[in-house]
Amino acid sequence: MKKYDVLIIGAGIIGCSLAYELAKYDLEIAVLEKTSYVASGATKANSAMLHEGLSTKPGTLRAKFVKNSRKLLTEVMDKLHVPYKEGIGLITVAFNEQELELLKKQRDDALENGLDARILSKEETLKLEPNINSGIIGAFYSKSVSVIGPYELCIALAENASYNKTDFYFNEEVISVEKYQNRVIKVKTKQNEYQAKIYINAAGLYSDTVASFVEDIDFRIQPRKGEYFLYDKKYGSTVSHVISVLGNGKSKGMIVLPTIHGNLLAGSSAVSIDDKEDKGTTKETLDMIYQEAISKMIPSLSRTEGVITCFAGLRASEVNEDYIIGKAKTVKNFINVAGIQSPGLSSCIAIARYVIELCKQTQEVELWNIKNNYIAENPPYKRIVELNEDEANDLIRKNADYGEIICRCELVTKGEIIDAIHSIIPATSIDAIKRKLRCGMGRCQGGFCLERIIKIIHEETGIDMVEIRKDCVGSNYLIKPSKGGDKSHD
Amino acid sequence: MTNYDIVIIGGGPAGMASAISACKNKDSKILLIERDQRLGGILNQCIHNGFGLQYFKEELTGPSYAQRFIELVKEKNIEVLLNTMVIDVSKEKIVTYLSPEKGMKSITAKAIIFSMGCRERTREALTIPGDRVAGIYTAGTAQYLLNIEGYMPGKEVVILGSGDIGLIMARRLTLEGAKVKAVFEIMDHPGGLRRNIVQCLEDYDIPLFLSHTVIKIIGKNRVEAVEVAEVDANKQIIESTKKIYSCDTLLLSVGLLPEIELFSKLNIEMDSCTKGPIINNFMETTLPKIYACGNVAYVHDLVDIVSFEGKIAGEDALKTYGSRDYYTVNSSKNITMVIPQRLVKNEYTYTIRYRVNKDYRKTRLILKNERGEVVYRANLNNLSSAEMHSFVLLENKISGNKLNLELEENLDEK
Repeated sequence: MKKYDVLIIGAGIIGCSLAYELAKYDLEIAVLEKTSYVASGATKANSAMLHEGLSTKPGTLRAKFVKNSRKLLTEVMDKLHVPYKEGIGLITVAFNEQELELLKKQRDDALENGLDARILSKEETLKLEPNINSGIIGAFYSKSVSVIGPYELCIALAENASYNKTDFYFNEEVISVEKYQNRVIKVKTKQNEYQAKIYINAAGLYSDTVASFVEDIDFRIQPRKGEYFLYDKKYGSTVSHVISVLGNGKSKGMIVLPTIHGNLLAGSSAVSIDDKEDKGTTKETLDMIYQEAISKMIPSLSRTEGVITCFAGLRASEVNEDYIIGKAKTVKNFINVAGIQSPGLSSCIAIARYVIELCKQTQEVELWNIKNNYIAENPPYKRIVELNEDEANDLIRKNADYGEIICRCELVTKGEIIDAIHSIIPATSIDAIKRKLRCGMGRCQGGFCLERIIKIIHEETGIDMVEIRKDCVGSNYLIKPSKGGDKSHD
Repeated sequence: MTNYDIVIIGGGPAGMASAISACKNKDSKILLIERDQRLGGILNQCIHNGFGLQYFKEELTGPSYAQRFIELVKEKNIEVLLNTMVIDVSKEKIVTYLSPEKGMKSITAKAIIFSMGCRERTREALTIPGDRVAGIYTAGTAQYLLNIEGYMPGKEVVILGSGDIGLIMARRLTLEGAKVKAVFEIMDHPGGLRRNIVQCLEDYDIPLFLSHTVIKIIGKNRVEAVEVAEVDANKQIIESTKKIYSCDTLLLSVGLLPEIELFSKLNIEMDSCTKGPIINNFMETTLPKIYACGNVAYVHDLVDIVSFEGKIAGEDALKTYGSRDYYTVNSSKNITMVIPQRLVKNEYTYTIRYRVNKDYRKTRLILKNERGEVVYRANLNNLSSAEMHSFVLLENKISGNKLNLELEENLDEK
């Protein structure tokens, strides 16, 4: 059995940032992920926003890592061609004097933390954002807020790690660890065992469970559910900044923002729950978000018209609301990176670099030499429909599949889907292709392309049609061939 | 850039009918663009019968109805591009498409006919809360999987919505051995045609629950159950009626929407009732020489009507004409949509189509002009909300310019 230098459990934004940073070194790295692809947990369902610690409590790890994190992350995103909109700015609106006072305090705090911030008058605000409720009396403004593609970032990090020889194993859920004296010697999944010198627990929602395989722990992940509305691209230009409202006791501050893909994202609630698998939306919460945030900020938006999906994400927050980053108490070679919640997306690279220092301190791996043939950049990627006619035709002449649109809403070609299936991190589930290429994220939500993508995966991989899944085991779409069905696929 | 007389976008029944009627001689340059690998559109997956009673005066299956038009397209001098997706249309009538054979290409047209059909409303259009799992299909997707790909999408099925495709799929899945547990309809009357309720549900003992809806989807990886409740007259959930139905599949048959996105930036005037463009009696939009026919104009019950209208659009697209004067047609009071919304003057007769908001036993349809004068009146019995209705209007009866169609309440309730 191959013995890795470092084994990472979890391929979310933290696991993939770790893989990306570790892959710079001449080490053998592996990542275990229980779902079918990267970015399957909190990384795929969040506010897709970067900020430098607006409203993070001073003195916490959350505040520590976010500070100066932006430059680090921006450099990485540029190298890996991750889409982001830098500094689109945040506008938090006030509807009364009391709220305006709170916002003034927020401005003072931000200035004290070295961030840019100011108060806008009602007129200034409405000039910047004419669709905002004219009932506001003023707003807080900070330019340093950006929007990004969170799963694009995670995929790019993972792909770069893969180009640099990191092994990713999907559908591998860690179910136990084996220790010998004061070391972890292997982790076991349902199917396999993996050995490494250092193990890093980046299992997100389940990081407490994984940590408890090693020792008694004194932290607990309490999922916090956030539900969102996503509006059609038709509504993407309703606002051009991240717009937010203050919480009112029942809810935390909620936002409406233009995504990097041109949609409008609105949310989110923040409800602590117990069931880590409860990723469902609820009518009550969605109604609340619509009333307290969406219609309050942007009265012209409808509860149903233009809504292409609603979804929920679970933040892996620790009960004490801070990060748990550090070596396990009773073993030498196991590091927990748990409780990573907002602003975890902003801080991911900073956290990863810190964890590498912890890895070095364990002295389990002796040599930390930079790889000779390290690949710093991912190949640039442009969607076919974004190419000009000459560029597109060059490609299509070589491979006609680039001329065949499969996802009609997001205009994704068969050639791009085949590339994703055979890419360095193969996307062979429907959710993986969705995250990699946006197939099925448009207004028809896969109504036209699902069946065609199932067939392409089948043709390219040989996986039986009925075995093709949305994501994990059990999420199959097709039951069996029909009575008169074409059995040639069998 | 190649210049065409007419470019038709969408090779379903509407597009084929307009291409055939537009192709009068072998000099005309007509291009029919279809995104699928074959012509026929949605008819190809509608393997049940019931098509063509009006157009061909015989009952055909969807594929055989389509085939009759495909043969006619082949006979004519019509250039057909398959597997080809139009990605942009400009006001100057420049059409850009992407195709495996031709690559990315722009062409110009003297006239454009949009015939892209419609798409199904999704779960999100109704905002059904719950888990996001495998096993939730629109009825049309399930129909494609079963009839084109030959795979069963589920074993135990609950259907939300009593639209025709849902009803057809209830029967189809049952014949394939699935258990269709129930069909739930939020309205107090069925959405589909009466004949489909009888032939697809009643004949197979599939229960239909009116004034019921799915309020939650439950499952971890695949649908495991749905929660259903009855709704009151205001469509509010009656808490005491909540009930869980176990199933592995939820089919949605909750309505269709014209697929208008391709021309949304052209500033064609839209109708908020049909969700399609405003059209005249030649299926022309508010932009001259740009037409919409078939389900992209408004959602039809019968393909036969689509074929008739496609023919009209194709003929008009060829014509040269000066400026057109219009009567406008609006609707109010119990009329949910009226087509066409504009009537070109000096055409002698017009077919006006409309839908009503509920079933009526005895009522009166009234068309008035802007002065309140009655232009047309008809006493009607047994008017169903599930079907589109029509009447012929003679131009010599029209006075004024702005017409409005309305329907009186049930007369025997008064």
